[in-house]
Amino acid sequence: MTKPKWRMLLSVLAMFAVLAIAAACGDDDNAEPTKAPGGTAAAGSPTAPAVTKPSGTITIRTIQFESWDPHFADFNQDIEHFFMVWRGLYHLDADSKPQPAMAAGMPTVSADGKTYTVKLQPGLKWSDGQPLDAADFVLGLQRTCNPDNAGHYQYILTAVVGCDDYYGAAKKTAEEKAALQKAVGVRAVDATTIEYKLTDPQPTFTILLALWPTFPAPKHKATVDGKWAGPMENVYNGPFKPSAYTEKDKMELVPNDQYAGKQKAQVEKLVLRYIDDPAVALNAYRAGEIDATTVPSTQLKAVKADPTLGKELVSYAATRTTGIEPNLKDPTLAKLDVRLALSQATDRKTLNDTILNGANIPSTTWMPPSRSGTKPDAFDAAIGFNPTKAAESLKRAGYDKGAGFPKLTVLQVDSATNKAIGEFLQAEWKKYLGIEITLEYTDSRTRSSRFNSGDFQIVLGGWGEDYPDPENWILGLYETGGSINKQSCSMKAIDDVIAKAKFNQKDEERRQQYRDAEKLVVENVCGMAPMWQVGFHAVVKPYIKGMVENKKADDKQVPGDTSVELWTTTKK
Amino acid sequence: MVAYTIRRILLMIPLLFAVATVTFFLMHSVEGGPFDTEKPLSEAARQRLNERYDLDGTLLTQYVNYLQRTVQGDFGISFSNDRPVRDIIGDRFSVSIQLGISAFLFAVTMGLTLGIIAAINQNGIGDYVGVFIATSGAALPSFILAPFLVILFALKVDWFDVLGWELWNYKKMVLPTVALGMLPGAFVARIARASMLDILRQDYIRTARAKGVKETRVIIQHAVKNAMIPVLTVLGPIFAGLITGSFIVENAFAIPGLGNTFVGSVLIRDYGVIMGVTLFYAVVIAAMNLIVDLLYAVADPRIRL
Repeated sequence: MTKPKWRMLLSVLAMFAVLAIAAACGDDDNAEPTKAPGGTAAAGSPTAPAVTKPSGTITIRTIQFESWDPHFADFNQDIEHFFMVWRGLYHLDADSKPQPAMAAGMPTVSADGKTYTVKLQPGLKWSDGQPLDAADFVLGLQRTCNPDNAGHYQYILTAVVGCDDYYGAAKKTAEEKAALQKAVGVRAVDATTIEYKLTDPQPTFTILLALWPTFPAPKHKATVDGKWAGPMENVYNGPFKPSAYTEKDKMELVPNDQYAGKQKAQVEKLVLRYIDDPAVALNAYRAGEIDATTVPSTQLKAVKADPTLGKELVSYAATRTTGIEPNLKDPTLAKLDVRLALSQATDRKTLNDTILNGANIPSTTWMPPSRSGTKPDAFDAAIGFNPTKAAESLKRAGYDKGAGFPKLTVLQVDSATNKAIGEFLQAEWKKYLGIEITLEYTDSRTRSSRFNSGDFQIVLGGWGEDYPDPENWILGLYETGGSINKQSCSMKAIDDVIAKAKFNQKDEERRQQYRDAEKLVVENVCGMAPMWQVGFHAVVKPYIKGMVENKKADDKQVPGDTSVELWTTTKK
Repeated sequence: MVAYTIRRILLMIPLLFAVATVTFFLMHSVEGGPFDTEKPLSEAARQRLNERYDLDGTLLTQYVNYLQRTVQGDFGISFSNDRPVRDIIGDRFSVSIQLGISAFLFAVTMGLTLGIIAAINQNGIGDYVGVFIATSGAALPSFILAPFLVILFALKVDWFDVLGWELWNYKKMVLPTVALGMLPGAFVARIARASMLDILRQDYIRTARAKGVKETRVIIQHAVKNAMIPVLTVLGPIFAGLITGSFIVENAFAIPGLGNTFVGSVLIRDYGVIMGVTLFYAVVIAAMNLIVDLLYAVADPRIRL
């Protein structure tokens, strides 16, 4: 064979190797279709479903949890998991009101508001068939107060007698810790009765009994300071229990036969796919690999414009507010008129429409409307966008048209969106106030470290609600010396109104007092000039029912994910 | 060769010590710690967590404790999920190595095929096609290529899955493999082509042809074999790079691999995982370099170790 012919033969062979790889990319006629079928609505209403026998599989996107221990964890995705597999004495309904879950009824509260007595439903069991009784709830609360467990959410139990003392006893001896553990104000009166003792009347305590820090701990599996078992080794009292788990990949959940709630799980399998990048999750949703996911703001316009996805999009306000947070220890920002000027020179609507794709709700209120009842523009007159007022405020502060204004630095977490927001503010404040600001970007942990140590002038940040009550938006955040008051807000009027509201048993009066506190905080820009209420956007396949219908402002990753027993699917 | 191998293995000890030391102090010099979350922890909780994870002493004490543990093969506990770092590396590496080997085989097959075709058809259509593919592969970073492949082959034509990795399931293997292997494949193709062209111009090739040796034998036995030495040089680091995971590709397909874990651990200051994975990477890369050096001697008898 001649040389050119051999060359040709070798070339053909080499091409064959490439084609062999390409052939592997061919379609497989036998493969299951991955496109999701269209669906019809499941029978029955979401709150009183007619479906009784679990059927079908629902796959949602979420994020890998960091801790499986409800008495330690604080991340959103962790909490989402907890509500799927565990339940407390109460559970928050669609209106965020506590309803009996493991409890037989609402608690009996003593006349002084300091003793709560709760009766359990009879015959409660863990998923392994072991009895679940009052001692498990006692152990659960003690774990959260335990200094060796170092629970992130111990701070919400500070009103429980002895919880703070126990939590602060890390350096004490084992005997001293044991004594402090016994002194915590929770006890099992009998197998089905639990008594909680409070130092002061806490009007929101029933809500706290619906949250993960007060969930029960299985006494046959856990100890007050021992290691908490992992997903496949633990036992559960919620509507689902894990049946398979691969870290960073997925968790599969099946109905828990021992669940004592009135509404049992309605799907055979719930699959949680761990996907960090929401854009990747959206592609998986498009391909029919998952049934529900959040929509990142960067893709919101494209999703709205898509004829299919646009119909499957659900948008509502989350319980999270973002704003400008000035450090009042900074001599320039200590001047009220400077803080007012910055807020009044911020065009929230344009910022939201142009930079944030209209993903959020421009706002001058701090508390979300679902908690305070006030409209998002309630404080527009005082701190809303008004270039004339902004210039006047700056002039009153002694910096007419920005003359002699010291350099300010705005600290943000590094991201493309935050850079655009920073540049928008930089341009706006230059245009309306004549001042120069410097933009500084760091990673999330550095930003948190700087914020928590007070090493900043201005940060863009906010607050995500821990529990559905106005006090969670004020207490600890804006009173002098508050544990989370990193902007150093300190006003006697605010302190006074918070002191009145804190233990006030008259609910409507208490709520009004917190609204008064909010007004003082916002109108004095005391560490916060709200810019927007964060919007929650998700897409849900039409064959899923019970998600959108049960959406709540404090949903974690997909709509209605704190009440997964209400979900149904017609997809098999 | 045995003495050489032992000497190289012993030399890894100071190398690993240096890597551990530099990483430890670099890591702790970065602002923000593992417990600096958005919602600040109480001081009591922070102190307790620092004690639990051995972060309460001076930096020097922590360093000495860390070295003592590491020598015993204990990389500590992950702050983020309370699991031993050794277990996390084991779990994630078992996925990354599958994806890495798959991408490596793709890269080598593609690279050698294109490189050889291009060289033996120099300035012909095979050359142009090969160079075009190699240049495109080199120009397309994986963060562009991965979503492009997903849109084209998972969303438009539904041939493959968007999510995950599963060995022997072609629907989950092909796209991550191509996304990860394309760049090194293009690199191998360019080196293979250049090396082949150089070899084909050598006197001994001309002599072999003049002696009437069959062309296949000339190409395979004389040209390809000798052209492989420069290719071999780059295959070691490429292999090490591929099996240790890629943040971008693993993130793009939601694959629970080591690359994703490593980057995530830096962002959340999971010191145990950062140190453990860095040392693991150092061992893998040093081992691959050693293996390549040993293979030189096999491929080229002139090299004496």
